[in-house]
Formats: sequence, C-alpha cells, structure tokens
Amino acid sequence: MSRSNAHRLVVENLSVTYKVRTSLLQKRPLHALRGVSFNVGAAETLAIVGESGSGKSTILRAISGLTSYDHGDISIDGEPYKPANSNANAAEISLVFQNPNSSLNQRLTVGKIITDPLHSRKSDESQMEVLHDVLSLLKLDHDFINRYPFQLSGGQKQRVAIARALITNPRILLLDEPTSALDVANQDQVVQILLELKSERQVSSIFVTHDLPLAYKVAERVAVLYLGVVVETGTRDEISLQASHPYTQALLLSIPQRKIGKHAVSKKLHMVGEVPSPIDVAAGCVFRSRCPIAMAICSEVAPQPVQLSATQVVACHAVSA
Amino acid sequence: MMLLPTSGVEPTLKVSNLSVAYRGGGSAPAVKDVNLDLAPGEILGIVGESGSGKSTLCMALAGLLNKTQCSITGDLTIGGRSVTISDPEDQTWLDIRGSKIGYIFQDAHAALNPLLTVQQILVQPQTCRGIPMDEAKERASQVLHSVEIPDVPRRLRQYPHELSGGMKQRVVIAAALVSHPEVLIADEPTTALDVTLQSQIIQLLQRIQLETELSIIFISHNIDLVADLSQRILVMQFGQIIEEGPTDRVLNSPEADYTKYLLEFVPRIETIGFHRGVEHWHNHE
Amino acid sequence: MIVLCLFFLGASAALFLGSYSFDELWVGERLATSSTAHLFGVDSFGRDYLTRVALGVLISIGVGLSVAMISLLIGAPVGVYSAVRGGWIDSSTGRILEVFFAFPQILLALVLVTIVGSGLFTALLVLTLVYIPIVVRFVRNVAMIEARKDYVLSAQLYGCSRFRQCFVHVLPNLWGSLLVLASSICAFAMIAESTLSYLGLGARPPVPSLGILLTENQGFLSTAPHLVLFPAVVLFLLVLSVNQVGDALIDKLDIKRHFVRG
Repeated sequence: MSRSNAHRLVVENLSVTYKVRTSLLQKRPLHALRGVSFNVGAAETLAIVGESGSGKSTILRAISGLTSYDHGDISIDGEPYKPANSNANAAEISLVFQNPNSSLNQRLTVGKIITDPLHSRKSDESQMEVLHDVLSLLKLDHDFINRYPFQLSGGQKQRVAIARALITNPRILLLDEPTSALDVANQDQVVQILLELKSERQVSSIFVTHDLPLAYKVAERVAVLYLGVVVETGTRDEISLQASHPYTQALLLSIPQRKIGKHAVSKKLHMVGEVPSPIDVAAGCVFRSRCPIAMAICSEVAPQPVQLSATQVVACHAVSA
Repeated sequence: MMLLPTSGVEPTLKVSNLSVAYRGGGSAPAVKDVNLDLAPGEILGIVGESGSGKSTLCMALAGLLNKTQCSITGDLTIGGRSVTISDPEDQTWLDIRGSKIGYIFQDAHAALNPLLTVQQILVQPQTCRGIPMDEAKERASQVLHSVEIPDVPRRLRQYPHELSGGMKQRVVIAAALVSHPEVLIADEPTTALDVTLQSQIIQLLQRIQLETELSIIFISHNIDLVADLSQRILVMQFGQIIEEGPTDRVLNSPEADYTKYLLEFVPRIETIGFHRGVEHWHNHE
Repeated sequence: MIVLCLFFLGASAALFLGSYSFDELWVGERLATSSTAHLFGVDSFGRDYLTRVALGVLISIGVGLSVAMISLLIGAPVGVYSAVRGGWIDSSTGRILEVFFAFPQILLALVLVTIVGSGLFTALLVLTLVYIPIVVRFVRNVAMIEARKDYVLSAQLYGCSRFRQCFVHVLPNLWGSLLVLASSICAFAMIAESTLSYLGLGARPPVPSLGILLTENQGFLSTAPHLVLFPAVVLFLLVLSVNQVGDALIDKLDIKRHFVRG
C-alpha cells in the first residue's frame, strides 16, 4: 500500500478504544479498532465487510468525526486530514446512515432536509438548482420537495438521505449498511444509483456491509474486518477467487449454496463458536480462537500484513507471499 | 392454489382456505386464502419480503395469534386431528401448541424470559403438561446437547443475558424441541445472526431433521437460504401464495414474475476459490 | 377537552352576559341556595355566587396557562441546549437541577411568597419560578434521547450550528412531550394557586380565586354547603379536563399530519 497521491483517502494505523463498564467496580478497554489501514482510490468504492463486533461502523464514525480515535493518520488527496464537524468538513466527507427512518428529521420537508447542509452557505436560488440536480441524480420525483418523510417509502427515504449526503459535493461518501433496512428491489435500485454516482460525480465511497455478495456487487475492492483488524484486502476477484485468510474463506463458505454458481472448491464449512468479545482481547491473532489451523505462534504474535500481489494483502501466519 | 400432497402419505399438517385479517384496520387481509400441506419429514420453505404475511401465516398455524386482534378463518388439521384455528384459546389447541408444534422465534433475545434460568425455561413446558420434574430436567439436558451447546451443566444454570446471540438462538431451538414436536416452525431464525453463525444454525437444523424426522417449515426473506434447506418452496406476496413447487424447479425455472424478480435482484457471487489451493477448512460430513 | 372548552366558554359567558358584578350585594338573599335569579346561590356577603365561581375559574385557567407557557418558554430552550451541548455545561445543569429538587416545590413556593409578599400576580411569578427547573429537567431528559438520534448526528456532521440543531431539529420533534408537560404544569399550577390562596398567601379577597372561595366559606359547610361544594367540584373538574386536554391534543394534531401516503 504505497502512499501515493493516486489514493484519494489513506487511513493508516487507526485505533479506537473505548472504556466500558463490565461490572460495578470495573472498567475495561474495548478495542473497537486495532491498527486498521486501508486506502480508497479516486472514483472507487471500497467495501468493508465484517460481522457484528468487527468494528466496521466504528471506522466510519472515526473518519467522519463522530467518534474520536486514539491514534492513526488520515489523509485526503495527500493532505493530512483531521475530522471535525463543520461546513468545510461536509465538503470532504458525508455519511449515510443505515436506517432511513431515524436519519431524516420527520418534521422537515424533503426539500429542507436535503438542502439543510447548504444552509448559510448558498443563496436560495442556487440551493434550488443544486437540489434539482441531486434529485435527478437519485431518480427522485421533484414533487417530493414538499413532501414529508412519512409519505415516502423506505427506498425513497434512503435515497433522500443519499441526496442530502451528496448536496455538498463531498469527495468521499461513507455508507453504513445503507441497504440492510430495505427490501430487495429497493436495495438493487440504491446499488445501481451508487454505481452510477461513481462515473457521474467521481465520488469515492466506503460501503460497509456484512453481506459479502452485496459487497461484490457494489465495490471494486474489499477489505475484510474481524474484531477490529483488517485480515485481508483485495480486489473483489481476488477476495472471491483467491481468498487466503481462513476468515475470508469462512465467509465465502457461509454463503448459502445457491448463491454460488460453481464451487472451485467443494467444502462444507464447519466453524465453531462465535465472535469473541472485543473487550480485553489478548495478544496474538484475533482469529485464533476459531481458526482451524491455529499454530503456537498465533497466540503470541499478531500477524503482520503481507503483500500477496499489488492489490492483495493478508494478515495471517499461515500465508506467506 | 391447491398443493398436491405427496402421494399416499397423510400430511402432518394441512390447512385449507386460511385467511387472517387484523381487526379494526379496514386494511387488506394479512393472509388470504392459503392452502398448505406438510408431509411428515418434509422441509418446506416459505419466502417473502416483509409484509408478505409469512409470519402471520405461521403464527396462525401454531395458534399464536390473538383472536381479539385478528379474525382467522380456515380449516386446520394437525396430526390427523382437527384444530379450531379461529380460536387459539380453544381446547383443541392444548395438546398441540408447544407440544406437537414447536416454534422458533426470530428474536431470540425477546423470546427468552430474562428472569428464568435456561433450565427453568426448558423445564416449564414439560411440567405444565404433567411431566415429573426429574424427567423434565433430564430431557432439558438432553435437548441442550442436541443443539450443540457445550458445557451443558453450566449453561443450565445461566440466565439469558449471560448467553451470546448464537447461544440464545440455540436455546430457543431447544425450547421448541423439548416436547418432541412433530412440526417445527422456524420463523427467520438466522436473520438477526452473523453470517458465519447462520450456516452453523442451518446445519444444526438439517442434522436435527435427519435424526428426528420431524417436519420443518422454514421462513425467510432470503430465497437462497431457504433453498439451501428446503425440499419445497412457497413464495408469498401480499398474503397470498404466488408460487410453489420443488426447490430446484422454482429456483431454476420460476413461473411467477414475482419469483423471477426476487431471484434476479439478489446479489450473488458466481464462483469462489481459494488462494493457491490454500484450503483451511476440512470436509465435515 | 370539550369540558374544558365548555368551562371557558361558560365562565366567560356568565361574566359577560350576567348582569351582576362580583361584588354586588344582595343582602336580603344572603346564603340562599340556587334559584333562577342566582344559579349558584348567593354567598354570605350577598354576592352572586355564579359570578364569583366563574371568575374563579377564569383566574385558575389564566394562572395555569400563564405559568405553563412562561415556564416552558424559558425552561425548554435551556433544557434542549444543555442536552445538545453536552459536556461540562450539561453536567453543571444537572447539578444545579439536583439542588433545586432538594426542596419540595410547594414549600419553596410558600417560602418565596412569604419573602416577596402575597397577591395574585406574585403568586403567578413565584409559581413560574418554581416550575422552571421542572421544565428544564424534563426537557433535558427527552432532548438527550432525541439528540442521540441519527438525524441530529447527521446535522452535526454536516456542520449544522448548535443553535439550528436545537431549534430546527431537536425541539420541534419534542412537541408531543412538551404538550403533555404543559398540560401537567397547567393542572399543577391551578392546584398550587388554589392552595396558596386558600392559605391566604396568594390572591387576597375580594378577588374570587377558587381557593379564596373555599377559605371564605368553609365555616358555612353545615349551613350552606353549596358555597363550598361549587368551587370544590369546579376545581376538580377543571384539573381533570386539563389533564385530558394534553392527550387529546396530541392525538388530534398527530392524525392531521398523517394524511394518505403519496
């Protein structure tokens, strides 16, 4: 992962730790993210895939500024970036939340909701112009401007949320499981729109999801996250056809049979246990408690990322370049 | 739409003309004129999006609806016996609900009484049927083993909040199985779980079905997941059955537009492969 | 709700249409019970009782509404701002509130009145002062929940000013809770005012606050019970209907917004 200016967003060594109360007198550290590094190119979508407790939402919260991080470096287009909640910030990064019902102010009209980020930055006329632009982009009826959220369907509401995120023309769009609350057709529509956005607006996106096939549909590159650690990164073909980390392979094998046209490998997954608690994780590889090939070294030393190809990186003691 | 029963065999569960409507709505019926057969030992999958009526249908079959909130009409036969579907509080349900029919709820967290230990949760459905305490405790242990929960004696003493998500779901499955049901209704049992857990639970259900030969009705909005498990599939939309048939046929040559639409929009990965033949997961049969 | 409106209309009507003023004397008919000329009878001084009770009702309503509105106008913005701002400002607000609630309200009101002096207007002021912390606490609690919701976080992210966050986003979404709070405060204030005037610390005679009416006539409980009965029952019904109004208003206003899905 070279630090070239070709990358729009570079995140290096991001760590977020919370202190949580585990009993009446005790507070323990919860390692939500541990030294996470990744990058996103211009007009590219990176999918971050992980299950619960992986820290995938925390990444978005840290980059956008909702949560503070302990250490890490973020740079946008080569310039160091400090997340702060301000108008200027909105021009760089926007966030779309998972649930469109709670991310829109029920008391405002759609028009007001979408143009609120522009408040005090633009005149009313130019606001209307930009509003119409973004409504067309999201394939929303211009009549909606005077409607209220409760009059819209789930898919429409989510598109309004995306429209609001885009109105400031951000360079980077963060999406936190934007389709998991939608039904199948709406999900597909949002995906199509996101794909078009790349060419129309040249916006880079980070798409967080737990659904690997969805990530495959939406993104060119995928980063797999487990317990706050990026275990593997690669292009979508590399992740699906050349998966090298045991966890990535487990995710692939968990996909219901029918979704896979042709197995290159015929294995049935037998995985025990669940994702362990992110509180007080001991040294070594985070995945060792469920890994079928865990070795002695896995309990002692956390594996360092190894470059398997120009685009594929994996962190596992069993895989060498 | 009439379903043809498997030739010659008496269906375990059979319902005709089932309709459910929520009272005081004036809105469309939740379930409209559904006919359904379930053969012994068969796994039937029901697919539909939210609002399709699939959950309401199955709650009606298990006698879990509230008759003051909904009006239920139809003819239901379970294990050869006729059951008054319009009145879930009727006598005919006493032997059926919780005993002949086991129900797995989607939200394991809400399905377990937080004030009872796992053992109490599993023992209650038995003792209220007159089974002596010792026998009930023995059965509770046994059923926890069968859902692959490790360290059973310790788990029996724990409360639901001490269990992880996957563990809770296994306890819910155990509670559904504890009274030796003939029919198991699984209402989106994996929707709230991580994908790696999902495959564990599906494999568990498959194994249980092989061992006990009970019939299963499996509900999900995910057509691929349902197809993985079921021999026959029903597709529901707006309270009606749009299409039904053997899994292979429905998935490979769907007849209804809605089924085609469901199949088309689901994201898929066509082929998977592992790096340089590095295969970490061993075959497990 | 209908009852309340009836009350208001009835009381106003009685005053405007009635040909009696509240201190006009009908000496010959003192302590008379209801008759066609005097619907509520006549009190010990010979004053028409209906007029006096009607005025009492208006006073109660007036005090109730004023206290509710003013305390909300002052307290709500403080509560919302504190909840949205968070940090040390919010913790300090919490501490200050705790100090206030160490005292029972009525006691506080009594102490303040003793210091400031009695009179209807002072009673009103004192009550407002006492209810402001209640408003702040309540609004702060509901605002804290609302401010954690996604749409507020979203506004925070795109640089929405704190002021806008409070007054364009959070506060308007609390209207239901505020309405319930307002009706509760109105009811409590009415009772408090009656209590204060009953004790002689609020309005003073001849102002016919309902509490005063009770004080004045409690001696006649055996001889002319209607003099005590009317204000007591009226006060009771008033408070009851105010409590109902809050709920009814929420239902009405909510449904209006939910017209057919487009």
